[in-house]
Amino acid sequence: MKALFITYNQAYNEEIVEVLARAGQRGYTRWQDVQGKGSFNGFPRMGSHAWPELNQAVFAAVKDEKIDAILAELKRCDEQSPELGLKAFVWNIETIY
Amino acid sequence: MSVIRTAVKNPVTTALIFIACMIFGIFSLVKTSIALFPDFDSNVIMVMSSYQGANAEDIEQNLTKVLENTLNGVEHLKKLNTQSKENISILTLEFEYGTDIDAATNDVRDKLDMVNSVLPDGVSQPVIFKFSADLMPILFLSATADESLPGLEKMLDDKLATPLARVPGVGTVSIIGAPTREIQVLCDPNKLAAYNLSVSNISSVIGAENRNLPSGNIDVGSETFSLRVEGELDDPSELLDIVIGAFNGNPVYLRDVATIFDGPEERQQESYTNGTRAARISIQKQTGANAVDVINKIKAMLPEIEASLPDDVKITTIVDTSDNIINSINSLLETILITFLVVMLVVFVFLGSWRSTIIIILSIPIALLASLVYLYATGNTLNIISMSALSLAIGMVVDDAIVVLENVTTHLQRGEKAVEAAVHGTSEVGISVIASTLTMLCVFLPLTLLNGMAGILFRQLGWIVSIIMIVSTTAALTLVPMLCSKFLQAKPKHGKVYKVIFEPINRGLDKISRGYAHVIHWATKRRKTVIFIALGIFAAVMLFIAPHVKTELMPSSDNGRLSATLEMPRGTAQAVTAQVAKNIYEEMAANIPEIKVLNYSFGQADSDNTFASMQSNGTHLISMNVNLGSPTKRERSTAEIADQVREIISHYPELRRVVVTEGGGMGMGSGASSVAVEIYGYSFEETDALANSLMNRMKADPAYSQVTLSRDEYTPEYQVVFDRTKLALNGLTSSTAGAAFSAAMSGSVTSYYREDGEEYKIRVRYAPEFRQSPEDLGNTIVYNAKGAPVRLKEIGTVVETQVPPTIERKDRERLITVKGVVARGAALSDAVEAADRIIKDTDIPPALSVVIAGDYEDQQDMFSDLILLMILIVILVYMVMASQFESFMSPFVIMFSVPFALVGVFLGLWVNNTPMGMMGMIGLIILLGIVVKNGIVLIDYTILCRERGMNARDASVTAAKSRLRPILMTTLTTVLGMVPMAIGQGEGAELWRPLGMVVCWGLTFSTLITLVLIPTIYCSFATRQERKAKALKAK
Repeated sequence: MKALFITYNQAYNEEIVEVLARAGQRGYTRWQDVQGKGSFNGFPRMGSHAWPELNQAVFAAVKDEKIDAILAELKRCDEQSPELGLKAFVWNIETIY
Repeated sequence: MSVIRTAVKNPVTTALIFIACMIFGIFSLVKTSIALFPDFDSNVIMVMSSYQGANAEDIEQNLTKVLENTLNGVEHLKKLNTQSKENISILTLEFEYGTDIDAATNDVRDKLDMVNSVLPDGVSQPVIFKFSADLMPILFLSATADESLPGLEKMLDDKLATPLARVPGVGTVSIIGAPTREIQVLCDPNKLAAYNLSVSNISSVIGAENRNLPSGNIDVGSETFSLRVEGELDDPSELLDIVIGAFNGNPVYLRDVATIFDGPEERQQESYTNGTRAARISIQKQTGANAVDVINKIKAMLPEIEASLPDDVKITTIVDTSDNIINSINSLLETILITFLVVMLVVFVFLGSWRSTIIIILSIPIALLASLVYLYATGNTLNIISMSALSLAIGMVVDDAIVVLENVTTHLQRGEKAVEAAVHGTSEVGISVIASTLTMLCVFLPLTLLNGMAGILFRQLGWIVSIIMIVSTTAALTLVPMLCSKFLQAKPKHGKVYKVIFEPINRGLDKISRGYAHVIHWATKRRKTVIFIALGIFAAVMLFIAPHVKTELMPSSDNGRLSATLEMPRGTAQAVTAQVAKNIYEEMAANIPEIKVLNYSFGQADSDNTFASMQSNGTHLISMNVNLGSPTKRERSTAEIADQVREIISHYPELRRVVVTEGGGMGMGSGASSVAVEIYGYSFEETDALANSLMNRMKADPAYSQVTLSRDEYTPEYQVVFDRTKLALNGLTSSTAGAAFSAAMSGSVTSYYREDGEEYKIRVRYAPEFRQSPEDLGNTIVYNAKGAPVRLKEIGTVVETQVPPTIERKDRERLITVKGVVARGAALSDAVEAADRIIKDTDIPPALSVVIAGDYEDQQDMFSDLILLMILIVILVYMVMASQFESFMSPFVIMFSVPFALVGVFLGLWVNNTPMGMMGMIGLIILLGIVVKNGIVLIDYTILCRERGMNARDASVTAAKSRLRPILMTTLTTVLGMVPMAIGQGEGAELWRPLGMVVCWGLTFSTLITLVLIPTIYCSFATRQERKAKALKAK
């Protein structure tokens, strides 16, 4: 099992959840209106006067074999509209109760 | 914002809500009546009471003063004018505009009840009479006839007045000037004396003879018959055979002492239309009815009525007040359509896309139509105020939609899905869109709270623009994102035409933006220079140009009507007046080709005709109504023609007083303004002398085209003074002698001649040849109780005297008013200046005081109201901006656009030689709301750039470069949207031209200056802040 954490511009909204669904990933946790800033480039998403946009974040516990397909699909999305910004992070899950 | 997402997710519902708005709007548009100005309740009550036998001074002392003292304390009373003339006292109470006139009437009634017991014996119960503009006739018709002329009045009464009075909304229909048939028995006093008869004898015998009597029933066999005695005359000539007495045992027939004349009344008003004898029909509407609706209904009925009249009777329209209203509203409608097209074009040029343009301009019809629902729901009319409001809102409603669409486009171009781009693009700018609408509401909602004259005019404007703003903002936050999500393309394909037209435009705009950024870069470096130059411009305009801007109350509009009242010396015989009237008519008809219809009437009104007797009338008065047709169809203006009429009339030195009124005196917005100089003082001689000297000097001044005095001259009259001893010796009393005298002179009416169901008076009096000189009066015979004849000269004398004129008072002091009409080309302020100068140069006796009133007084009231309101608006706008920016400094900087709007306004008025009036003031108030908009956009973005880490100067330059395009676009839609109004040429355009002019000039000038000045001042403040912050850090 891998932990998949994706943050992305809120303009994607349902799209990311749909990517997960298409890959057969049913469970996820989503945060609306989260703030953040990229390490290299892109505008901060602070929901403030200066930076009015906001991000969303999704956490999902994904079976190992599905991870690559999902990441590839996310990468395709990001390359399609680079200005929006999308990052996905994957790490191991040790236990689930 | 969930509202936005809901709207975008439910496109059908969103679309239907706005379609419903439009449907309600169209329904209201069809149902709403039109008028020239907003309706307003009358604010005048008249109290009339009579005291038979008292002269003007007695009336003043014993009646008017008592009533004045009582009524002076009525709540909300603004002015109290009174007139005391022989037998009658008239008090005119003018209340503050907006006072509940019914409550005021009750107050007045209560006060009158209180004072009733103190009034002298013989004073009639004071009558309260509500005066309103509704009493002005809305339609004047004229009926001319050839062979039907003698019976014209009855015919018109039956076949025209009666059916017309049944039309819903028609108040009174009155007929003036048609001949009225009367059977006159003209006696020879000498023959009467020979047979020992009197006028009243004859009159009562005729009354007794000319009568049908029902006399019960009779049973004959099995049937019942009713009985009647038929004594009524079948023909007036039968009168001659009536036996009126006996002399020496022989019967005396009426033919022995009198002749019969069957024809028009002796004293009557005569009316002429285009030189031929006619009847003038004036039609008043009921209170609250709409003039245009009523006139339309009347016009629809007229053909049917004309068909029922004999062929020789022709009905023509002298004055139709609806023509001007309909034409003015149509020309304003045209202006609105042109404005719509101009705004659409500007949006298209800037956006280069039909889809975007349509999405944006859709908010215009939606918001405009929605505001009409308000008009319909509150029972208001489409008038030049509400229509001007619509016209000036067009340029502003698109602003919100533009801002939203622009941001949505940016989001789309970054690759977002349409729905998300629409939702996020809109919600990001939502707050600033709402804030800018709030600043506009700060300007327009306070207008709805105004009272007085200004309130009547501006309340509708305030509501309409507020509603339009709210609807357009709602549309911008719901409908616009919904449409964007459906129809906007991220990367539209452009054809060849686009490349040819829009690429150069875009390149040009980019160049301008870069150039502007350079200017800001330069200006923010030389802040002091820029600020001093701006201050210099402000000071120069305020010191050198503003004092030369003239002021007025309302622009005078050309409604194609002229009216004139010509006064011969009092007591001029009707025949003389008729000749003068005819001569003047002929000269006018020959020299003024523009005259379409000219009607004039003169003569003493019959006391039966309420409407005619309410207006001043008399054998010496000529009243004239001229219809000049629509101003678009002639070269010269009504004012020019009025001057020519004055010139023609000046050839007749026998005329004592002449009042020529442009616009026919139909209330505000028509005709020239006037200045009234009021002279307060008790003595007639002193005030007359001063008034005459002021009048002569004002006449000589070019600022006035006509100057008149309010006070009449002394009227000549013959009085019969009885000697009481002689009366007693002859067994007579004053009243029996007086009654006999009055019967001989004015006649006695005790019976009516009936023909075809109509009644005509039978009047018995002396033949005219025995009523011609003071000697004839003395020869009148009075019979005493013993039946012996006594000549009037034996018991009294006939003396010629002068009756003092009506005594006018205002606010409990006697006054005489010198009224000057402002000449063509001069403004009210010129005339006031001239009057001021003349008053200063004149020695005013210490007992007298002189005040300038008239339109000037109203203008002062209104200006002071509006200036107070402007201060309130400025404070409110500042507060809204301060809370939006959460800072005191930024809105303070933005407020610098306001004084420069004033600079533009003064420059514009000065260049166009237009006076500042009420419509200009509306423009100025609107400017307060729009000039700050540009500042908000600019400073908001500068602050954003600073928050993103730039220093104040870089932020200003970046903001300048990025925000110039939207600023230019919204300013151009507003300014160009006002141009059709500012240069309008249609009928009535004089009224709204100053409004358009003020907004165009004010906004253009303030935009040009503030685009440079505001970033500069902002930089000054911001760099100081930055320095302070640095200093704090260093510590």
